[in-house]
Amino acid sequence: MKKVTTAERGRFKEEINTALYKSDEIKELLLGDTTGMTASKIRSEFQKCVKSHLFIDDTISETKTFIFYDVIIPIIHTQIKECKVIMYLICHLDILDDYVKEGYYGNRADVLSQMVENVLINDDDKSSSFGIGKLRLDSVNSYNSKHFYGCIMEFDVPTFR
Amino acid sequence: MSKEWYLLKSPHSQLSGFENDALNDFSQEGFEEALDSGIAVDIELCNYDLSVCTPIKAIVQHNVDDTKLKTLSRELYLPIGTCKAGMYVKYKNRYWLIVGLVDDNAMYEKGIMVICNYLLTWQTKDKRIIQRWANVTSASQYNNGETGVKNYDVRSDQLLILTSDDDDSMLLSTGQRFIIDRRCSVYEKAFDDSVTHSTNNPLLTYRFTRADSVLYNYQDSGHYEFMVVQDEQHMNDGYYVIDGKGYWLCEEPVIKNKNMILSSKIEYESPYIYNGLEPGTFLAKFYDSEGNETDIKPQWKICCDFADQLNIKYLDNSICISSNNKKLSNKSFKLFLCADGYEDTYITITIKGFI
Repeated sequence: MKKVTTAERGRFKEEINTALYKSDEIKELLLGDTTGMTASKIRSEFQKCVKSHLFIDDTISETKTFIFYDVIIPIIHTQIKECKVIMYLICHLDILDDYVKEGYYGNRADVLSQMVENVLINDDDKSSSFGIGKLRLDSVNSYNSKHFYGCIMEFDVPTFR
Repeated sequence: MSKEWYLLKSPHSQLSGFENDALNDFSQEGFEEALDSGIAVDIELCNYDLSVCTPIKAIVQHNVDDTKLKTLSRELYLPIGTCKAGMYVKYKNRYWLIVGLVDDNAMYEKGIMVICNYLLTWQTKDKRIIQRWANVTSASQYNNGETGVKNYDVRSDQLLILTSDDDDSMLLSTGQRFIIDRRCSVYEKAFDDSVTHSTNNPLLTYRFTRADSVLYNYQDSGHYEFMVVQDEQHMNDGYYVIDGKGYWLCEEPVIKNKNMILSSKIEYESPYIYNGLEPGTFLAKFYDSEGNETDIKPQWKICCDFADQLNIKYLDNSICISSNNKKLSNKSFKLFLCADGYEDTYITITIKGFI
């Protein structure tokens, strides 16, 4: 039987991070106006807002918008593995309602979820670059805490064992 | 459909059942698998002046032979289309010259390489200093290409020299003199930094007498062989420092008084290049003896076996490097900044996934 590998966890995270970074809309929503910033400054600011681990309540209090995500492999079959991407798109309550973007609807967290969907699901090249077939949006739940509001998106894709 | 998953499988579909198809499909792959095993060694494949060196894996055989002569040559096994006669190979910290026509048997290609035992140095007519690694063997049993009545006999030796067949080697003319003497390295030990030339040491000097430019020419490759005969040391034969580097030459060189570049450095924001993102920019800076920045055209060299998979752009004194290949993630390479006559500066750059 083929040996199991968990390399997808890291590989998918690199794919996701790069795809989100390449989206000018997401960068603008997370960082605001980046005119005049160097590429490395934009990268480091982006890395402060996009984390490849899940959000822990009360560990962050900055008035910003964040993306937290992780890749898990809940089921390993004999030939394939089920991979799941869990993504928290959360926004501080103080800036939740002060963002408007043409073509998008709802508050800042809602807009962000649509942008992420565009990048990971609606872009055929990107959605095909994960496992076997395309990355699929499985569910969207809401997230609510004392300071942050947002949604939890879950994607899944099978890949070889 | 996914772009990646089918690559985990063989690129060949084995449906016919004929051994011929299996051989066609897997013969070269089988050899490449052998290169991933313990019998393969790391070598560098170099051009005639060693300015381009590519690290690769190869199988080197005949390294445990019995006779003195056999220990001075090796068999080199490589994937088909990798090397040609006249290339140099850096193997176990020695340079070797590939001689003889390289050919393949549909599985791998084989070259014969001989040890280079001397770095031959000479000055061209336009006063450029040329250095080539050479295989020097005794040729006292051969005709030296000259006949005549000798009224005196003082020294008698002749050497056969094998080197690359580049333009500078091929244009060597009869009468060109060389210092071929291992004692040079002994003399150098006594030199301090203040020595700029020395012509006091006894030296073995040789004169170019016979060459064939077609004997070892294979149209697309080849090496060059010529014969030198020992002659008398001249007054100007000796050690000369040119642009901070010492050479043993048979003629007094024209030493140009160049502005010394004391230091150079590569400026950069990050030693990382993120796969799929914007290029990393690396800026060359040169400084004169007083620490002032000088305007020198930089020469860049990337040392790795995947340089052809990197996207490279040159912009004034900068080089912009990016990568869009996931397979290069977490690989590193060396970026060298070179300036004529001075020690190279280099940095190690790592390609990372952005996370």
